[in-house]
Amino acid sequence: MEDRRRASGEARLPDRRKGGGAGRSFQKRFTSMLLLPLTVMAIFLGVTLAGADQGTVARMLGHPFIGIALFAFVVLVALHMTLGVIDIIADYVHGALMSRLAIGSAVTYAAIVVGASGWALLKLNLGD
Amino acid sequence: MAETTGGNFRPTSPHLQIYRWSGTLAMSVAHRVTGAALLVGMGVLAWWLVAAAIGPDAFASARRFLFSFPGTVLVFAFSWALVHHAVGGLRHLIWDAGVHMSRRNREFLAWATLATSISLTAVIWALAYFAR
Repeated sequence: MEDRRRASGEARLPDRRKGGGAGRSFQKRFTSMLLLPLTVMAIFLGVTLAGADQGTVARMLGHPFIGIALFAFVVLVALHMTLGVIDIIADYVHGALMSRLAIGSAVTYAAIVVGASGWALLKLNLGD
Repeated sequence: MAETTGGNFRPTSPHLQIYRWSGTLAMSVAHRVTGAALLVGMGVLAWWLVAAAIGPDAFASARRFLFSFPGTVLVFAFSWALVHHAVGGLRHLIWDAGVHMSRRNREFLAWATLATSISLTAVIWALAYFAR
């Protein structure tokens, strides 16, 4: 079975390739549990900042606790959404090459989201 | 189906047209759709954060888009998707514990997920409206 799986290109999925670890299923649940309180925080922040001007937003997100918590939210969402989209790709995208391209795009997108949000939050906290 | 000769043993799914729809099936589809929508929405969130970091002018144009009709629809959809996916995730964690798996209870939890996400989203928008 292991050999057939390798030959089929299913080895492309991270948890299979690395071997060991509890795999995507566990990672997805672990990040989801960490995300529950952070999501409540993010929604509360959204309610507070709804319609606010740039000064208010910059002041609030420039607070270290809020900035760090929001960055943790973005990083964990990026991990969680990448794990989730790999499941979707595994269900609908067949063939090793297309699958690799799709997963590569998803990882790149997640990295851009984290990079852009991280830059913004760093600037709001350390800039000026 | 020539693809199957390639030896990918993961079944092509889901066979939506052959299953009888149930609450759990509907919420399973909703969980995946909201998850995918949130992935796209995270790009908008990152863009909004970058606009806030660049300065008042960039933020004002981002704000103008988010307050336009399509922008508001987008933010509303994002907020419901976030709440629905979080509540749905909680339901999955309950099932992971191996409880409430009877037909009656799992159908109840499925519809309770939808009712909870709709009510919470309404409360959130009411709070956002009256808080400002």
